[in-house]
Amino acid sequence: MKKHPIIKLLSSVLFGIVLLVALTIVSIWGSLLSSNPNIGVEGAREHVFNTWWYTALLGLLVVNLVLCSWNRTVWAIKLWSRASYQRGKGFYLRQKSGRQIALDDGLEPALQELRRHYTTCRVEGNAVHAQKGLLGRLGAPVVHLGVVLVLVGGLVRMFGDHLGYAVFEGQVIIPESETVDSYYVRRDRTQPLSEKNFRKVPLGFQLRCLDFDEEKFPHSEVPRSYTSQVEVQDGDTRVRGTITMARPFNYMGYKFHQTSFAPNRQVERAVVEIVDARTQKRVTLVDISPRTPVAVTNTPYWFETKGLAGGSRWELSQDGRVVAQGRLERPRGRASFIVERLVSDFRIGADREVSSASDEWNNPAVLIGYHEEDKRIDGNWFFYRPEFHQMGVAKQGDYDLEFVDYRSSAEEAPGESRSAFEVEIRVSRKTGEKIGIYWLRIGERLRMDKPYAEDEVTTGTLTGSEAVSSAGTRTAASEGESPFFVRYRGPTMGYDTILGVVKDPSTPITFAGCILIVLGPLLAFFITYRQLWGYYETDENRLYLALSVQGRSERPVKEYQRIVQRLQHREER
Amino acid sequence: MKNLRMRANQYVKKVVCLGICGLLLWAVCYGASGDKPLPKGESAYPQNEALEQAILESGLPKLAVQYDGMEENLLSYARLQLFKILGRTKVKGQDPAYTILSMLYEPEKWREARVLPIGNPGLYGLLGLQEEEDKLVSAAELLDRVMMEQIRERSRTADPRTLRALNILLNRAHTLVHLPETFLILPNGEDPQGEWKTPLDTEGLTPEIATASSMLNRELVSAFAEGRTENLKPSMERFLATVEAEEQYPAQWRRGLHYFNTRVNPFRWTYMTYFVVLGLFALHLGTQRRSLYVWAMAVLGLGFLIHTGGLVIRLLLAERAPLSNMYESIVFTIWGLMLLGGILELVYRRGFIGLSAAGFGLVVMVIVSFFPIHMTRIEPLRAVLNSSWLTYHVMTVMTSYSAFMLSFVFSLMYLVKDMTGEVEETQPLVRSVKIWQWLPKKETLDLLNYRAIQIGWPLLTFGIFSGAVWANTAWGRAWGWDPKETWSLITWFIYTIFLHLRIRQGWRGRKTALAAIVGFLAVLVTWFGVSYLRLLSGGLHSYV
Repeated sequence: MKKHPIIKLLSSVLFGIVLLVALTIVSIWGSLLSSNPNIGVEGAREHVFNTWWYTALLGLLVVNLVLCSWNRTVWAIKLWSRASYQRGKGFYLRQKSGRQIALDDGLEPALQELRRHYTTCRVEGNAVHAQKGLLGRLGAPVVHLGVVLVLVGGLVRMFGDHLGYAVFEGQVIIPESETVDSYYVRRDRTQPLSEKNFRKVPLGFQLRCLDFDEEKFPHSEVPRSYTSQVEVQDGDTRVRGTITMARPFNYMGYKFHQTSFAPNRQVERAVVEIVDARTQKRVTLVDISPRTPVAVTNTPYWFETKGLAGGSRWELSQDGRVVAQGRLERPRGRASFIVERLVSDFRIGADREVSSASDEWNNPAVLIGYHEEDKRIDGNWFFYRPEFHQMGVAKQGDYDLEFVDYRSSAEEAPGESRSAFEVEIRVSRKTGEKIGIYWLRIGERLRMDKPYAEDEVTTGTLTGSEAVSSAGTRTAASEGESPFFVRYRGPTMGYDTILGVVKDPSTPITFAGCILIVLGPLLAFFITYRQLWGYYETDENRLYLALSVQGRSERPVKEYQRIVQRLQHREER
Repeated sequence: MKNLRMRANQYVKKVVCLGICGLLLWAVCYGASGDKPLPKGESAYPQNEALEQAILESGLPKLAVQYDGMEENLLSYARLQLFKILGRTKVKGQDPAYTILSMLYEPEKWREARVLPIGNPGLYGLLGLQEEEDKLVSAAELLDRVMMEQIRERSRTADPRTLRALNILLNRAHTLVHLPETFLILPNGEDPQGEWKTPLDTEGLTPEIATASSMLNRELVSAFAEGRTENLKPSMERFLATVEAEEQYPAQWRRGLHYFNTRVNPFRWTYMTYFVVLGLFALHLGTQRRSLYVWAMAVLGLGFLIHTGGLVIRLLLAERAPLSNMYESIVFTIWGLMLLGGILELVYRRGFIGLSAAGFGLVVMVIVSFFPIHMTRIEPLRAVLNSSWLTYHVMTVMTSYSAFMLSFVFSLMYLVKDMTGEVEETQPLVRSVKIWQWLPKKETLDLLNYRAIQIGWPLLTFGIFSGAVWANTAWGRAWGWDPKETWSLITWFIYTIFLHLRIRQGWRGRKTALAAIVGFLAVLVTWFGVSYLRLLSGGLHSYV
């Protein structure tokens, strides 16, 4: 059947080569763009790799590969399934590989020999056709199929992203010991994630960061590891996992991987010293955050605290991994402020509700909540122009606050509070001691640093009656005093862990394609297709043989020479 | 007249050939010495030959020192610190271990000694220094001058290049002044994973270690102050016996191996043997003497074993595959080149394959021997590289580069042969300076070019695949169009085009040789260009 010229063009090897050359050239252009700091990888994707014409080039390559592979596979299988006999000794005498062997006892012994070495050996009358190495012919189609699967994986990924059942380049930022239930993705994929360019998507479960740890090599700035301990809370289900650079955490098809971290001074953390009660020697120093179990180095013990907050108990028991119980009292609550609202033109309505009278910045005011630990104690309005109200400095707990300035990073209309605005607050103690001036976003919490003097912190002694090893074996601890007690050493820097979120249904397809791309060359380069023709001349009692080998491999030729030798020796014997 | 011109021509060629060989030999020897010419005016360096000898005999150079996240020995620590301070790894024929101990225990002398090289002439004006012949300045003078108000004023208007040079000079002085803080030889018993301590900071250490350290310190002080060296060795032995009891202290075999690696540097011997291999193969091709071929293969095997030994030592010391930075990747690629070259030589037995591999390997190994010492040290493995996929990904990619290197050399040979024309191969050709006449037939070179790419292409494919799996694990996506990723794909495209043109379109000879050269240029861009060319840099692969 004659092929349509377009099909012929699309299935030609030359067309595939032209496509590969075109892809090479545009990929070079794309790489130059991605290296340009003003454009970056996102820009290169926008201008080259994610464009319709690049996708069209890849689509044409898929079509070319499918057609090419189809033709090749059909041709190889046809060749394999049909025997082609060569009759008449003239053909054999013309071949370089042609041999003639005297066979006095007929063709059958020779056929037995050929069947031992070749996969198929067909006989029709006096003619023989034997073949071996079909997989060698299928090596190229297997590679092509692999490339097609990789590209199909890309399409599945692209459509999955558009239709919303796949997630790419999502991100969650979780302060240590806090919980999130959603992640962020970019609205515009060509631009980096920013305060403007994001979309919040619910996860369907809660994800908590128990701990983040950046470990560096000793006396070095080289990071040894980044580790996030996370916990999924999905209804009654709780699953804990560890995320490192080499090991993501999977849950419900989502994959969370470590992408970055950031210091967060608002995260509550502390360093405590665990001391052997008998020898009074330090066992270890640990950096802890509330509700996160910590293994005591070189011992079977764990401990956990419910909070570092003043007045709360250090309960060293959780989830059956009880070591002991104890308490560490801190004298006072820890203060923090949250900027709750910002209005441009302060007005109190008849219903005592505060709102903005206009979009003009006639009377900016900010509502600041005062918290002790996580409990809101009080909230007050502070005014940018206090002369209107004669209450420029208001008191909150033990602190004096002043609304100094405001600014906007966005081109948004003023009026009711906007997340893009920041306000500048001056904080000082009641005693007159100045603490600092801070720029805060709406909703941002400002914690007071070092609220306690060191001598105000008491040492807690842990007592308990049973201990559980980290391996889960319960063992009775010594009666009375715990083997350890804890000393508070002071607050430390906490972190936000930044995790990438991916839900990629195309991964198995892509990786199956990759496996085929690796497998194909092994078939093509290490399995050689060869066919052998034979013709038994009954008048002369001679078998004529000829060999055809695909490629330049010497192994089939040596095998053929061995067969010929064996048949000749057989006759001589 | 014509005859005279031909003879003159031959002499010129011989001189050029000898010049190239001499240059290569100089490079080999210079690289082997690991040192730069000394600047003038070095007499200010403190020196005590008897003390130096006593230090070497006491075993102090083998002392373990924690430095930048890794366990070094005093010798390697000394080389690294001397490079940071002086810009070279040894001075005036002194053992670096002695020099660094002298800096630690005679700090006043070194602060006053004019040892810091002034790199930029603009610094004389900026610092108000007299322009001296030796172009050196002492740390004390430098630090005094930068505190002056007028120098600060001048630095506000100085050009960026001079300021950069000032920064480098200040870093040198800072390293010299703060050297005692980096002399971390005491394992911290409290924390097995923790930071070691200096002899000046024994707080929290066990009384045994504190005592042994104090004794050793006292002996070193008295050795440098009064020249008393008789107790140096016993105190060193006692110190070692004490710290070896600590769990975190490196085992004796490990310290010994590290010291051997630092002192001997197996890769230096590697390229020396490759130089011999190159000569033997060249002589064999010229004379066609079988015995020379056997000797060449034997020395090639020896060089390969030394090369393998060097990599195994790095593997044992770093406890990971030696593939984590540019130096290690190049050394591994040359190892792959020698392996593939050796195998192809054993299969085809033509001599020129071994010659090509040894020649290319020699040139590259000599170049990497000029890398600054901080690029060649065993570095701590960054968190981002801490994955078992590092081994599979980098190993396969680098071995594919080895195959492409061979293909590149065969292609160049093909083009040379193509330009110069075929000659009879029956006569010994050693009398001719036309080295290209030693090359084999064009068909053989073409076939070998194809064979090398047949080996390299599947390896590159697997390398890209394993990289995608790793990226999927570490970054959550298999492919991100990072410049390194894009260029590896471009390289893959080019070699795929090569294979299709050769297998399906029947391309042979000059066209495939040119295609293979283009492919290797793409390899170079992927390997070095993306890391070092500003035009192509960036992305997530910045550490390689």
